[in-house]
Amino acid sequence: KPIEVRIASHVSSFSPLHAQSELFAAEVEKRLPGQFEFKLFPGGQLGKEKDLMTNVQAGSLEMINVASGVMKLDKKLGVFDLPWLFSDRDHVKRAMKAGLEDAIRTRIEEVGSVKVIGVYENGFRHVINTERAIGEPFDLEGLKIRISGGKFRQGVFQQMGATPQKVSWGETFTALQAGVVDGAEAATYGFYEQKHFEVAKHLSLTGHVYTPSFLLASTDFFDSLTDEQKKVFTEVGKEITDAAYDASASLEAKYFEEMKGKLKINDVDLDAFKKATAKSYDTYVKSQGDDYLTIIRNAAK
Amino acid sequence: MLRLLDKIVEAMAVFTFAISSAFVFLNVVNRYLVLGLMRDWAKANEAMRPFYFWVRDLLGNIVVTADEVPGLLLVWVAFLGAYLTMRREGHIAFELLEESLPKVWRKILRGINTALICGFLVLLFWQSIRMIRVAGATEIETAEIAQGWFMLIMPLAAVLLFIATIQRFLSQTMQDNERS
Amino acid sequence: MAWIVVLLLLMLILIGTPIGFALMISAAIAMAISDIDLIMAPIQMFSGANKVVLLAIPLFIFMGELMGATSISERIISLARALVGWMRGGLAHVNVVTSMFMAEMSGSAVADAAVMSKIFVPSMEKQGYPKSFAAAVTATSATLGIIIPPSIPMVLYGVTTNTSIKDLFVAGIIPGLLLGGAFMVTSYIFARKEGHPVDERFEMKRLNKAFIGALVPLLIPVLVVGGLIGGFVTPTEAATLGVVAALLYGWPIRRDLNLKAVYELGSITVRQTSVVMMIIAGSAVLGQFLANEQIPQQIASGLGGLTESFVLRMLLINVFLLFLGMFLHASAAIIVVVPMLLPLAQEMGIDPVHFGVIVCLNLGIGQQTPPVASVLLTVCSVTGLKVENVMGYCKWFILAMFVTLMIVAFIPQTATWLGG
Ligand code: NA
Ligand code: NA
Repeated sequence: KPIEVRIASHVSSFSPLHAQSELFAAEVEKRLPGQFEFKLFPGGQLGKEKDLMTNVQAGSLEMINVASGVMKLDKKLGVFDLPWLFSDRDHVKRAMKAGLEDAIRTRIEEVGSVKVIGVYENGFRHVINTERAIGEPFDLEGLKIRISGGKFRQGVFQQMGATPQKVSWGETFTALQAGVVDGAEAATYGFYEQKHFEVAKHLSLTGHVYTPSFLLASTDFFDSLTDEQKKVFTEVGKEITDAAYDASASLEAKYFEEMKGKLKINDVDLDAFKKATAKSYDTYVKSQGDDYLTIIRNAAK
Repeated sequence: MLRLLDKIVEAMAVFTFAISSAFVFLNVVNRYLVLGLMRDWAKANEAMRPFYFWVRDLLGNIVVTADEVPGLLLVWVAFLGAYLTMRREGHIAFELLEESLPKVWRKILRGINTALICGFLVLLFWQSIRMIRVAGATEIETAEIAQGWFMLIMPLAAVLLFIATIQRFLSQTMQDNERS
Repeated sequence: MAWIVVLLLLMLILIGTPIGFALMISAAIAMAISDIDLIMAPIQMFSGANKVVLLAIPLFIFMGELMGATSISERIISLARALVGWMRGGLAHVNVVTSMFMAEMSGSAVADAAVMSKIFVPSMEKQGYPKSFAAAVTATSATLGIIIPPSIPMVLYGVTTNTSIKDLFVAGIIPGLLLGGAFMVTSYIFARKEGHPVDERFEMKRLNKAFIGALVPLLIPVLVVGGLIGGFVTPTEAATLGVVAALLYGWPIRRDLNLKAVYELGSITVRQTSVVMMIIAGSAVLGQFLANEQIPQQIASGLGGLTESFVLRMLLINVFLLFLGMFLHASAAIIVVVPMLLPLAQEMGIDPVHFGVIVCLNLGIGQQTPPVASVLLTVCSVTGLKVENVMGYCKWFILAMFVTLMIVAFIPQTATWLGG
């Protein structure tokens, strides 16, 4: 009888996270046919991100695929909150291969008592708004932008002249439509699945924050596997990484293509933004050191 | 004794409700008065700026949590209120069957109900302690506060509701005995 | 497994376990049987109640309580009397129109029914109306509270299905007016048949005076719904604005309130909120279990498989909802069952906002029909009447509601036209 493995995620089946879980399940099935029955639960069916984390830490769920929630485990992982850390997807891939991935894997397994199966992509966060194309920081001046996260991101958006707003994610569509806020920042698939593109006019590819996604297994579940199964899980988790980035890229391209009819998409002057928010790195480096940052900078080109 | 507990829980619940509403209200004030009117004013008038930045940062620190903390506090409002309701008018239940039965049966049903609820509350207490041990240290998303502080309401509610449920059963049984 | 949970739940409800706890207990037992780690119970209960949007529930309850504790109801009744008191069966119409105004402030039908039956049933009896008729009008027109915005069931529907609460509120306006009209027509028919009296003659002067007296209290809810539609605030924020406005009006301006009274109302609000929230917390656990077993998909496809015809499916959904409403509390029905029906409704091409109004109308009818007739029972217990006596009149008003329901169900424009 196959072992039932639930892979839950807080985001919908439009997300790259769902594609990653599918990739993983298919590849394991190919190598160990009939040994597992994977059941995917996207869209928060089994709980919000925080709940999934608690469940996997307690061993009440076998596997989850989540994103920024993992960063709350440890302040050092807050490095992914820093703005304009990566210039593009290739930069991310290079940094991850140059040791960043191994470093954060170890860190998460230490502090979270979970097994990290894979580190993939949740995506770059961009800005959508109803007013104008954002090309340089000055264009954000005075715009009410719905942000997620805490004081740090609030500060970053304030430095660029925007007036950051807090509205719950579920109310954001209505808030955009009604004009309670002028814009929002999120990963591309977030704008797509929430249909924000139907009410906003501009999607500016600011890429101000990059968030990885994490495929995690509970230690209880992982320890219950045979040595061969453990080996396959670990190997597959690593080997699908390139395919996972490709899937993210093609999903993003698809969503851009579909949203194009409803709004204008523009590139931005990254250097101007980097300059405007350079100060925001200081506090992190002071308290958490610059070992992660060094890897990332060395991988820049 | 229980009266005092009622008063304390009531005060906590009303206070928590007031705080969580204040967060939401301040968010509106911040959006239109501080980031709107005051900002325009500070833009036109250089002397106003330090004051504007001071207010902006002060209020900004509070409202940055406005999409998370009021929801967390609502859990406290809900479960503290659940205790108060159990102590007074009771939670919505289907009472037709119970009322139409002879007295002995009524007592038995109430006993079963009390036992089921109390059994669940014991389980809830135990599992919520486990939950806090596993995930309590993780910080909430918008502030540097461990989520365990907010989760503390779960075991607390289990204890409070346990007391209220037992007390309710005892007083109902006493009323029945007095009537006969 | 699905059937065991459903049976267990029904059995617990039948033996009088409070509904919220019945949901929690049956879910816990089912999880234990299916070998699911029970730590999921507190995780889901905590998470299910932890939603900023749900804060709109206590806020709207509090706003209604604040306004109820001021001189507002008298002012609104004089306005309604000046408006429709001249018609045959005057007080019955005044009753309905007052309910329509009050519905603007309250999100719950039970709360409306309790207040209105204390005010209207004795005075209608004094004017010679049959007491059970008075009770029937009062009970049924209280349903307007959940159709005309703000409406707590609509907040719950919006949260459960991820539908815009603002759109739902706007969509409730025309069906609410239709429903009020249907009640007035029914009252008028009885007035002709049983010779009910006129209340007072129409006088423009009196209408003007009453209108000015009721202006401010009527404007507060208009501000709330207007701020929401105008795009200044989110639903939760709109509710706090209403609370602040009602507090200002009742405390420093009219001095109907003081700190102690506000604290008392806060306490009532917290308790009423907890009743709904326990059902939310309980169904979060049960919902988790059902999702884990992938049951909602099975139910929707099972219902959809019965027939292909749009009309029959629409009737089937309505019958199912009516039946549920008869046995379940409105919030429980929305939170537990709507997620299972929505996929079918969407497959049929029903707009989720339109569907929300259909759901609320159905559950409104359910609140009038035994065995779990929360609104009817409230009125009966306040007036000391027997349910079976009131039912004699009540059934005709329920028929009026049903006719309105059918109009709204089959003419989507009634719900979607205002929202554009
Ligand atoms: Na209402
Ligand atoms: Na009913």
